[in-house]
Amino acid sequence: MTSGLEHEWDAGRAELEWAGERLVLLPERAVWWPAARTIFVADTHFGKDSAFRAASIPIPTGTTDHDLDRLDRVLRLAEADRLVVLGDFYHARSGRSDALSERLDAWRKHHEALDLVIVRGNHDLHAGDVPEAWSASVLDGPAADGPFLLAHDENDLTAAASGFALTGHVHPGVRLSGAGGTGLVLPCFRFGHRTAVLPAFGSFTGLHMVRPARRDQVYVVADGEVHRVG
Amino acid sequence: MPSRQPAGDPPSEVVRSLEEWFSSKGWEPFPFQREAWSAYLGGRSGLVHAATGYGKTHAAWLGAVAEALAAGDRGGGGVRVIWLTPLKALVNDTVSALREPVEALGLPWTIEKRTGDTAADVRSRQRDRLPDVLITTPESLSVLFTFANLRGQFDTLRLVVVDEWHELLGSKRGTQCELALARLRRLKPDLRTWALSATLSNLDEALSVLVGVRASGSGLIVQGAEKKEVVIDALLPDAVERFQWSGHVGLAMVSTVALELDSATTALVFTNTRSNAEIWYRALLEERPEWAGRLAVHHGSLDKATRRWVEQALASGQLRCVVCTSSLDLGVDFGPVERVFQVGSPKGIARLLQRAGRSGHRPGAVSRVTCVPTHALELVEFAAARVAAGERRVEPRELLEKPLDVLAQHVVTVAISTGFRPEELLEEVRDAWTYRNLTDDEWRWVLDFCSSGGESLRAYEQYRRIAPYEDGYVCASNEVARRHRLSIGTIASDASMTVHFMNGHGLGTVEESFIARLKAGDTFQFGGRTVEYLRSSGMKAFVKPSRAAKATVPRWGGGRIPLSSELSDAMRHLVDEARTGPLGHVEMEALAPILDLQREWSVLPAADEMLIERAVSKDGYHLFMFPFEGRLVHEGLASLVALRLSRLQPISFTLSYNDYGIEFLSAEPAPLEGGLAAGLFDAERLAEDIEESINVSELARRQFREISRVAGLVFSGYPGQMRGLSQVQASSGLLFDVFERHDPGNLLLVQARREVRERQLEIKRLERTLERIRHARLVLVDTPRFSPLAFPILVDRLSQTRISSERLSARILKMQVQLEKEADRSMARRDELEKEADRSKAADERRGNR
Repeated sequence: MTSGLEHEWDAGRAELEWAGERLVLLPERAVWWPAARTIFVADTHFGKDSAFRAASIPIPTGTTDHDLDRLDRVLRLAEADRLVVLGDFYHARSGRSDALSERLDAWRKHHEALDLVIVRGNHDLHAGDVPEAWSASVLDGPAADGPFLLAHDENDLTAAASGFALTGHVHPGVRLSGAGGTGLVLPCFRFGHRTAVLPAFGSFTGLHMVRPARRDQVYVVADGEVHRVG
Repeated sequence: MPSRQPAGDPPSEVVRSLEEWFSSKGWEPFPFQREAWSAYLGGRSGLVHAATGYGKTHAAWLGAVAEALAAGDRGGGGVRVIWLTPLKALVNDTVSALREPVEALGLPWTIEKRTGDTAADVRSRQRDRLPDVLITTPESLSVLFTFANLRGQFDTLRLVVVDEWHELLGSKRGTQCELALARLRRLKPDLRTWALSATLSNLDEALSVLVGVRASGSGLIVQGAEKKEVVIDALLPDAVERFQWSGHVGLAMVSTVALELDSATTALVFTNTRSNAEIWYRALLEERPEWAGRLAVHHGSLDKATRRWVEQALASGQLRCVVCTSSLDLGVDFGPVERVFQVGSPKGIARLLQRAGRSGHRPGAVSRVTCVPTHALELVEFAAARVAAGERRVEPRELLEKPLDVLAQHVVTVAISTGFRPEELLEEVRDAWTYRNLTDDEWRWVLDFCSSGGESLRAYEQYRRIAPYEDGYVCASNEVARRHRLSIGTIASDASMTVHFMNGHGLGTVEESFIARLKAGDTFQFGGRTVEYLRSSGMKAFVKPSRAAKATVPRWGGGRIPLSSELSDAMRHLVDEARTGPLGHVEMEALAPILDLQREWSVLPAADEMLIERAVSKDGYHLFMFPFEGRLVHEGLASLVALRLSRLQPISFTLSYNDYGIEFLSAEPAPLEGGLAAGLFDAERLAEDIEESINVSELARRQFREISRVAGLVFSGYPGQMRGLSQVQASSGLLFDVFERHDPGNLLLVQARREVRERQLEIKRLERTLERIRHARLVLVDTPRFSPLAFPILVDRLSQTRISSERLSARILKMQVQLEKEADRSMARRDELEKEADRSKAADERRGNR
């Protein structure tokens, strides 16, 4: 199967086979599952900037537009039918301003046909779900999706649940050290034996340093490209 | 009892009572003290400049006491004197120092302190009514401004004294202090401000900053009468040829130092870093196990209670020696310290004199500091420091250029306290020396930043911190006020974790990155003890005592201070003199064999020359330059020169530098002659070339940590009960990225870049250096082997491959990526002691091989 994405990002993406499926890791910090025409993202944290402003901390507007543009681009190039958000769609209730709601409603309207799946994350529990009118499937993880399990937090997985878990929550980052002692901190995808952690999609999100286990596959995102580093 | 007379004209009996009190102590007032009293009583402000231990406190204090006695002041009704001190540790000593004469002279004034540590009930009482005399820190004073009901309490204010002014000058805390003084002058136009300062060379500037723009001509500089005699000497290694040529720990000198300590009753051993303090403490204890309990370590990362205990134990004579860092530079008066040692480079003359002043802490006594070399060439620095100190060539304090983060904080403070009309507050702010050139646009921007976010046309929706009210601004909400009070303060603190025993007893702080590398069972040295790491919980690391013989020493961050201009200049002249004349200093004589080698393999450069050496090794082609301008300037210069050389032909350099020189290492010879012809050291396009050669953006991103704290973008040190804050926490780096992308005109970003240029790259000094090099004779020598000057740069190697126009992703592919995986972690740890041992060994081998 070929789509626009294949041509446009030959250099920037990385591919791997996991759970018997071909997955493409995109520099937008998203995972593409071509066989199911699905895009996975985690931790969008919409409204984080407005939550700061509501608390009298001056943060410029623009991160929401920037993130939605990136999402649009990924969906368009992948010709995706389905978007799965692995938790923390919203950041905080105080950030759900009228301006944000308008902007997101318009976005949803623009992608009317898109099958939208949102796994509830810890932030969503406080911030609330997306509006009914969005007709999104909002569910609590872990939930089965083909060979995969969808969950927000790796720790939500129970021993009983079987499958290859796609998760978020951690906002994983790794520190790379190279010759000359120059350290570099970058967001990463981490694929373990049965659990994968996606980087946070939201551009106003921080990084939490993770220590991959020896057998983990780690991919960093830098400068619009995805590179395997371990 | 004193008769009632108008202030400013004290009856002679009042002054006589001061004199009597002095003689009851067996003293006589110094002329400069009398001069300060009479200037104060005449309504003037001023700066008292005298060495530590010479009665500066009495000079500034007793004028106000005499005035109150003359006026029959019974106290009450508002604050009379505010005494500001940069260090909380000084507050208690100040309280007793101020109380003594007041009680003896029968002035019924209440003297109280107020810091973050003051008990809640006392602080709450002070929020309603201030004492007659308030001793506090700049931060706590700013917090007091935010309590609107206190406004009337300042009506009785006559005097503000700022202690240790040299410490505040040129820092953001100093700027905060300046704005506070400008505010108080507005409330009380006849306010007098006095500052106490030790060694400082730009006194006129220091005075202007103190008294503000309008009064800048009317202040008085009061010079301490006597020049304090300072002896600077050095411990010499037995055989300088066998002494290490590089390094910075200097453990080879431990037994020599211990011998000196044997005959001293009390001593301070200053080191340049906290890690070295830990290492030296342990080494001294190994050298003299019988000193256990009488030897202590003191540095800024140790728990406050521990530090306080050490200070008191030192004052009471329980300790014979404390190994310390700049944490004991400031004026805590621990009485008699007999000897002071400085391990390693003094870096600057003011700093060395300050440390010397810890001994002979009495009028008339001689202060002495004994320098301990950590490598051979430091002997030149010691002799140079003595020469420069003898000529009183002391470094000036560089002033800050209108930092907008501090101003934004102040604007919110004033909005909370009384509200303000913009034009009035602007006038007040411009009276502060640091903001005298604040433009209307910058002021407009700060107002917008506090009220609506970005520029007025692109307001941040939903945001406001101050709100328009009538013809001015007030604080937007009580919540804003509450949070602002908690976040006032301008000292940046790194992400650090506290270290605890399991019973909760706190030991101090250590950087998160250090703890992140430890695994359970690892041992490290902390506060002189060896502890075993157990686990972490949140920002706490738990440890237990350990008996392990070997332990890692944490490395704390914090920039390494470069050699000052004054000291490096003195060094160049000493090297010049050594070319021909007699050596003249014992240190230089001791160094003679190495100076001879330098002369034999290369040359000793004259003061108006710059030496360039070239050598070839299996590593490649080495090009060395020796400007002797300190590592920050060398870092900038190295990148600049490498960039300009690389424009002549495709070439990449590995750059290394120390306080004396720079190494350019390349796989093929560097096009030096071509470079010189093309204006290698030109000042033209300097800013652009620096931007191109150094990742200024990345440095600015790091600099933004402090700025974002001061400007109230991030919070730290909040008490646990502040709920709802976890959702509005972001790292300063992330904020920097968001501002860069979505509000690139934000002046705080501009400020971050400027702070990088001025503080981290010392751009002005770099310009002066280039100027000097352009006028210098360049002496080029191809050396058969690495010269004594070149060798330390080679070994210490603070390498950074900087000249790279490659994209980030390409750099990643090129880097030998070492992802720190669980199993490989132990590889990543390096033991500082081992490293030092390796270095000395390598140095010995190299010298043995020649």
